[in-house]
Amino acid sequence: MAIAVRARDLTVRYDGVLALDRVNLTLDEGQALGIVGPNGSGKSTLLKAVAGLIAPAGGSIHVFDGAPRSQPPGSIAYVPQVEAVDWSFPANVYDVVAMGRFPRMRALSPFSKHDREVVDAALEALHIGDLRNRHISQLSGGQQQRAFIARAIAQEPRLLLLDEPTTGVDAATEEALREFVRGLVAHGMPVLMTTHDLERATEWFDRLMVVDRRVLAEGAPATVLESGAYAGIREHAHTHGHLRTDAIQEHAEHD
Amino acid sequence: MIDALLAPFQYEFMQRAFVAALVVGTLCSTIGTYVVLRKLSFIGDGIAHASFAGIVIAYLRGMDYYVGAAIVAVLTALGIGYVTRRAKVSLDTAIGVLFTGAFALGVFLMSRLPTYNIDLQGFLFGNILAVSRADIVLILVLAALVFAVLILIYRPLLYASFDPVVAEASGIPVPLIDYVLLVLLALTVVISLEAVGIVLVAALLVTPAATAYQLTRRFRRMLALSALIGAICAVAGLYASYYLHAASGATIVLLVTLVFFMAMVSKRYRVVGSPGRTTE
Amino acid sequence: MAAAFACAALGPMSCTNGGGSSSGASPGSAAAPVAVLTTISTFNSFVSAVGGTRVRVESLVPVGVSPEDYQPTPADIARLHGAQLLIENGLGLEAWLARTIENARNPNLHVVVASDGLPAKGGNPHLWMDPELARGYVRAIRDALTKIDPADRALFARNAQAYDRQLLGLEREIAKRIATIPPASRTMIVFHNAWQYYDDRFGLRTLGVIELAPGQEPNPSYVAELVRLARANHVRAVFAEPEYSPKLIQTLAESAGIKTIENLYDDSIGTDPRVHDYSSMLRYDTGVIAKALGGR
Repeated sequence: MAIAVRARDLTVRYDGVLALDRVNLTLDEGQALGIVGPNGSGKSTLLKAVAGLIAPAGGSIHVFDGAPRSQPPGSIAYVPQVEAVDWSFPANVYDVVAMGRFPRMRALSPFSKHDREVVDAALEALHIGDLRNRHISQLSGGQQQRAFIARAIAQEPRLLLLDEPTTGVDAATEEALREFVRGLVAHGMPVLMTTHDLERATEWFDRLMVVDRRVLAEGAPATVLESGAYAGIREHAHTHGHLRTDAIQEHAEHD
Repeated sequence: MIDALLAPFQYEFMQRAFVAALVVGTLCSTIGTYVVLRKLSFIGDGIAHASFAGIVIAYLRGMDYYVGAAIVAVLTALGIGYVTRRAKVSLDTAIGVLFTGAFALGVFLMSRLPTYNIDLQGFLFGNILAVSRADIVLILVLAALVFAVLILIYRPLLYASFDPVVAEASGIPVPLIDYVLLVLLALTVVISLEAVGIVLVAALLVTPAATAYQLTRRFRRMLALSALIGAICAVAGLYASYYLHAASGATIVLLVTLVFFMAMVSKRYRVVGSPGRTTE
Repeated sequence: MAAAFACAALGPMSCTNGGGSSSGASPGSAAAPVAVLTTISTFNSFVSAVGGTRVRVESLVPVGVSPEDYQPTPADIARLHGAQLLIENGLGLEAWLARTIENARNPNLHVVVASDGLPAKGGNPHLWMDPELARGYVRAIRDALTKIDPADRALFARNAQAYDRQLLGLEREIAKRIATIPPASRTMIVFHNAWQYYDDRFGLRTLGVIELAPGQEPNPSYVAELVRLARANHVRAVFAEPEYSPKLIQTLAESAGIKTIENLYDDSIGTDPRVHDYSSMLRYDTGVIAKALGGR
C-alpha cells in the first residue's frame, strides 16, 4: 500500500500562534487515522495543512509523494468542521453534492451519466436521497453535515479529510457514517479524521494519534487509549461538546 | 399604429443603441449574478468610478478612452482582489477611499486642463445614442470574450463562489478564479460605460440579479433569469425613453428597479445572506 | 496679480482699486492702463480694438472652454477684485457670473452688459456672432471705457470708429461668401444654438440644435427628429465645436447620411492662430460653412 500522507516535523503557525509543533505523521492507503485532542490542539490546522490550505512554517507535508497543492484536481476531499458558506446561496442538496464532481470535470463537458450515478450513490450512502431537492438552508445541522460528506464522496477522491464529522449527528447516523467510512477504507481510501469522541475509536480507526500542538501519542487505538496520554486531556474533551448522552453516561461509569 | 411602434428602429443610431443596450443589459446582469452572490457590489461601483481617472489620463496622453478606462479598471480590480485576499476580510473603508480618490483625481486632472472636450456628462450618465460603429464592434467583441470566459470557468467559479475553502482543497485554483472574475467585472464595467455611464452601471450589475434572487433558489435559474431581466429591461427601457423623451440610461435603470420592487412584493422579501422562508 | 491676490485675501477695505491703477487719472499723466475683464475671449478683440494700449484685457473663461458650463475659480474672484471694468454678455450666457462678482466685492468694478439694448431673439445670448450687432457691443465698450478714463475719450472714439468700419467690411465679406452657397443648401445643424443671429443676418437657417440646454443629454426621440429633419431637408453638413465631444454628432451624421462634419468656433476663439480674434474667427467659420454647404 502506498503512503498517502507523510508529515515530517510539520510546523504550522496560524495567526502568528504556533498551532503545530514538529508533527510527524504517516498515513497509508487503505487506512483510517483518527486524530484526537482538545479544542485548540491544532487538529483542524493539521487537516488544513494536509489539504494544502495552509503553508507549513517548518518541516514538510506530502500527499502521495508530492505537495498537496500539486495533486491533480479532485485528489483531496476536505470536509471542514464548520462550513462557512452562505446558506442563502441558491442551491439545493443535489446541487451541492454535484459540485463534488466539478474538480475532475473538464470545462464545457456536460454532466455525464456516470457523474449522475456517482452523485446519486453518494446521496444514498449518506441517506439524504430524499432531501435532494431541498434548499440547503432548510436542512438540520446533521443533514448539512451529511450533504457535505456526500459531496466529498461524490468527488471520488484519493484522500478523505474529515474534521469532526460526527459532531452534532445522532447515533444512528454516526453508525451509518462509520460503516460507510470503513467501507471506503476497505476499498483502499486513506482517511484522516479528527474527532472528539473516543467511544468507538477502535472501530473507527486503524490508528489513533493524540495531538496537542505536538504528537503526544500514536499507534493502535486500544494501545493509545490505554496509555496515559489521553487521560490528561480527556476531561477537556468531555467538557467540550460531545453530544451523545449515552457516551457521557458510559464515561461516568468508567470514572 | 405599427409604424409608430416601429419608429425608433428605423434610425441607424437607434439600431446601434438597441444592440448596445441588449448586449450591455445581458452582460451586466449575467456577471451581476456573481456580483450579488459574492457581495462585490461595492467593488463594481468602485471600479466604475476609478475608471474615470483612466479616461482622463487617456485623454491627456492622446490614447483611446476605453483603453485608458480598461487599464485603470483592471488594475483597480486586481488591486482590490489582492488587498482583500491578503487581509482575509473585505476592506470596505480602504476600498471606498481608493475609489473616491481615483475619481477625484480624474476630476482634478480634467479641471486643470485649459480646454478639454471629454463629454463628462456622457461618461457619468451614459450616452448610448453616441455609440458609433466602431464602438459596437468593440462592445460585441469584448462581451463575447467575457461570456466565453464565464462559460469556460462556469463550474470552478460556481464552486468557488459557494464554498471557496473546500473548492480550493479539492484542487480548484480559487485565487486565480477570483482574479479572473474581477478582471471580467472590470471589462464589463468598461463595456457598459457608454451605454449607462459610471454612476448607473452599478445598478445594472446589481438590480436584475437581486430581482432574480427573489424569484428562484436554483443558481442556474438565477443566472438565466438575471440575464433575461437585464436584457429585456435594457431594450424596453431604451424603447420607453424614446417615447418618454427621457435620458435612456436613467430610464433603463428605473425600469430594472421597478421590476425589482414588483418581484419583491410578489414574493416575501429575501436578503442575500439570510436563510429564506419561502419554499419553491 | 500678486497684489490682486493679496487684496482678495485681506478684504476689499484694505485696498483701493488693486492692481495699482486709479480711475480718473489726471489728464496727460502716464496713468496705468484700464484693467478690463471680459467673460469670453471673443470680447477681448473688441476691447483691445477700442482701447489699444490704454487697456489691459483678459478673459475669465479661458480660450477653448465653453462659458455655458464654466466653473469659476478663486483666481477669477481675485481677478475681478483687481479689475475696473467687466464686460459680460448677459442673457444667461454666464449664469455663474453674478455670484462670482458678489464674492469679489469690488465696489469700483464697472459692469457692462454688452447685449443690453440690442435686439435679442428668444433669449438666445449669442448676439455677437452677427457683426452688425457686434458693432453695438463695440459702442457699449467705447462708452464704458470713456466713463472710466475720460482723458482718453478722443482716442477711444477714433479707435471705435476704425473698428466699426472693419466690422462693416467683415459683414460685407461674409455676405458675399454665404451668397455663393446654393439656396437649397443653406441649412445648418449645429451643436448648440450659437448661430441664430449669424444665420438671420446672412440668409442661413439653423435647422437643428443637438444640445438645446447646456449639459443636457438629448433624448432618443429628439435625436431621431433631428435625423428626420436632416434627411428631409438634405442637410449637407453637421457642425461640431472643439469644446465638445464629437461623438453624438458623428452618430447623428452617420444616421442621417451626412458626410461632412466640421468644427466651428463661436463662444470662444481658439488657440489656432487662424482664429485668434473675432474677425479671423468669423472669417474662418464662414469659410468652413461656405465650403461645407457647397459654396466657395
